[in-house]
Amino acid sequence: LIWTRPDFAAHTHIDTFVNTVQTLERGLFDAFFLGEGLRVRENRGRVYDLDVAGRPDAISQLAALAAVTDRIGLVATQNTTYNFPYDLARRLASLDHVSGGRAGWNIVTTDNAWTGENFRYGGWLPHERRYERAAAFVQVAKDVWDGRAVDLHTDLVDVTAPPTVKGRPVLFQAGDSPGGRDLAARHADVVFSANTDYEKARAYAADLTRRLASYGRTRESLRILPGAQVVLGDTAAEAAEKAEWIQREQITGPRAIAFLEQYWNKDLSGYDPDGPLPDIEPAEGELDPSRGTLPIEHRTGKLERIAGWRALGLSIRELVIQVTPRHNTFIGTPAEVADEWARYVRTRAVDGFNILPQLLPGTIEEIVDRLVPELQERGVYRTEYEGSTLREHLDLA
Amino acid sequence: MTRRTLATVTAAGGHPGPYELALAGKSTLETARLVAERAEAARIDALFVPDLLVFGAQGTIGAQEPLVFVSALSQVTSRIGLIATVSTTFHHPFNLARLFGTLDHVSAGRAAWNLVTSSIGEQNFGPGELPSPEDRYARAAETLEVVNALWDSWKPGALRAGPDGRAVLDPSLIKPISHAGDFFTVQGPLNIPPLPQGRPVLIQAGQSAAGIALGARYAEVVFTALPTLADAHAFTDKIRGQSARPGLPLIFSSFHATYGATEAEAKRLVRERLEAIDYEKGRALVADMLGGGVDLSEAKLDQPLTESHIPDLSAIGRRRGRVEIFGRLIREGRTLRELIQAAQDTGHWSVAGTPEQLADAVQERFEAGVLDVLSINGIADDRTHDFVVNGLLAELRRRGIVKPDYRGHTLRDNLGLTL
Repeated sequence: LIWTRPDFAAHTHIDTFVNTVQTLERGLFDAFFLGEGLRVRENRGRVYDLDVAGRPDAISQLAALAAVTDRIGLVATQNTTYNFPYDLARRLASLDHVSGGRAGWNIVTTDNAWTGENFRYGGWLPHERRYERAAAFVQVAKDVWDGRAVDLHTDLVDVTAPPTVKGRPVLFQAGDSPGGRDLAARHADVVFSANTDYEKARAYAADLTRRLASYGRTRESLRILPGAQVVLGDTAAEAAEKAEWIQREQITGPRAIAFLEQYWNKDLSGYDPDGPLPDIEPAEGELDPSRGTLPIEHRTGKLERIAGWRALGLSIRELVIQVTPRHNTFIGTPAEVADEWARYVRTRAVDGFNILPQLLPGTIEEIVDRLVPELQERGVYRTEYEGSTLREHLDLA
Repeated sequence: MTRRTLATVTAAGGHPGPYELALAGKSTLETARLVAERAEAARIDALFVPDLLVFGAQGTIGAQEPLVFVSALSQVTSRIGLIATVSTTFHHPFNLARLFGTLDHVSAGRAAWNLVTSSIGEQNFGPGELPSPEDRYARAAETLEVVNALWDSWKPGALRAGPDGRAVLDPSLIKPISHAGDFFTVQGPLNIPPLPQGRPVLIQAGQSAAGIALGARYAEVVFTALPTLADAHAFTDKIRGQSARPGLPLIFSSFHATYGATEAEAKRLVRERLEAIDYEKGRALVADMLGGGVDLSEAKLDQPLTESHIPDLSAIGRRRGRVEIFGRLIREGRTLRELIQAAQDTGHWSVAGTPEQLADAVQERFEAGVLDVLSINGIADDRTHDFVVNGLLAELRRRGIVKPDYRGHTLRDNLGLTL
């Protein structure tokens, strides 16, 4: 959406980032987080989506932002599959140095086979072995930052490094698979969970607490920050209407068609997105499990799912709007959303939220100017930065 | 056509050198910021960041990863170019294309890549030994083919404003590169829109035969250690002779200047510096300049070294260009003491004098057509800042050799380079 609105600057322009991060710092945010994409989004061999058409390198962007901010943490997503452990550890340590201790690393293993076509090893590691490499990779990075010599030689990671640089970026992890949860329990300081609904969040926190114990850690050593979208209005009705508008803007015709093509696995470009669902039958076979654009539970049982969709009698675009999950969206007045968040925080279901803005700068300006004061009034949000490092902001040892 | 002028570069802070002496107590970024601000105020064309790839005994100094470092500097400067040294031996081209693409975007078109193939660092990147120079340069050439294709993978107009003002993506103008070579297979396209400069400025360092071949074919600027005018002529003739592009690559030389208010003062400073050299440690330094396999611990300081001290070049796997220079100095009959003195400047062009005399030396090479980009030291050191800015640079501007101000907003504009 950022890309397709003429009144917003292109999201690769650094000024967009500078404005955003300075607003967040005014709102006393713990950190600014950037994702990673290593391949242009394609469907059936054609680039179709502006969404990730621009995914510059996060560490370089955050280093630039470090020079124009003082307090806010700077979290870069970087994968452990297509980087060298020593090189990445050094780049992250450099970010930590230039920012005065504000660096964070969101550890991912990447969508392997598809992304891998941009690298020499295309699809070189099955899912479990990616996490095996990730765990060894993170251990190397920690050794490098703690000034320990590294001498590790396996078929996945091969490094000899002298004791070197000091640095201590905060480690984030987002994978929700068992391998991802274990990696988080073993190494992460913060998890970005996808379990935002209150009951799911409680269950997730309980599961992580169990996994932490098996690595000799307590719940106190981990911060849980589920993803959240926020839509605010003066009244509940106004907020709901705005949320509806945003959803319609986000699901454009080409995007709706591309969504269906993933299920049909056929060229549907001739269909009108505002017309009925395609009358042809989908291709045989389940969805490609190596692609990360669909939730795991949607990658099987596609024929039943499609039959169910047909029964709804909606247009292609209406259907996609309806089936696109909105479980992580908080919609309401600032007071309503603040009340709900206070409940999450007080019961330790979460330690905070990773906010995914839909509109820039609109969403974050609203949050900073309207939601933050309500949260402060309820005693669940800081009123000033007490420390100067990201580790201090998150109250991590 | 714009008249040819001399471009200027200075080293960014944050690595060993005289700046740290003058700016003790400041953080790496603060130091670098001060250097950058002074350099930009003096209308220097670009900041240069080397890469040591390993952390030495000096702690974090020299340790900063250059791309991260210059990305930070991009936001405290607005005009000066940013040159980051990155090895092709230890990186994948898809990552490199993204990293330099990002730098060019965050700096609004001020990125340059100083391409090296590395003479150290392999122990941190396993598995195995440092590849041979031949393999390193072959990998560098393939890397360049890939990154250039990736930077060009979005054709003009692929992303443009539509009739309603919305951004429109034309997928037919974004092509995969489908590269399959000896070192890499890369599908593409790049996932970053076209760079402000199209491609970052490509600088290359490496004076061995393989380095010259790579530079002649791909580089827009070559970074050199050319101690004498004769060296500069020989090198320029050689690389331009191999290049199919007239006037390219530009010759970029490091200028190790000793500034004095009078000639006598400059000479005194040089003498003091030579007297302060630890000549016993210097034996190891010269041995290193000769490839590291020579034992000079018993050689007499004031006698010339002999042919037997010059190693067989084909057995040298790193810094061959440097070995060639020192081998030649031995053949010219230099004593070990003189070689140790030359090694202090690691084979670079070194001149002492008043700003006018230094300007004469620069003018001589510039007018001979063997110098296009000059690396100037001492700009951030309070003891020499005035000599550099109001002395040497002002004199070169008076003589019309250095342009009075930035010519444009991208580094390409300022270096007069077009794609």
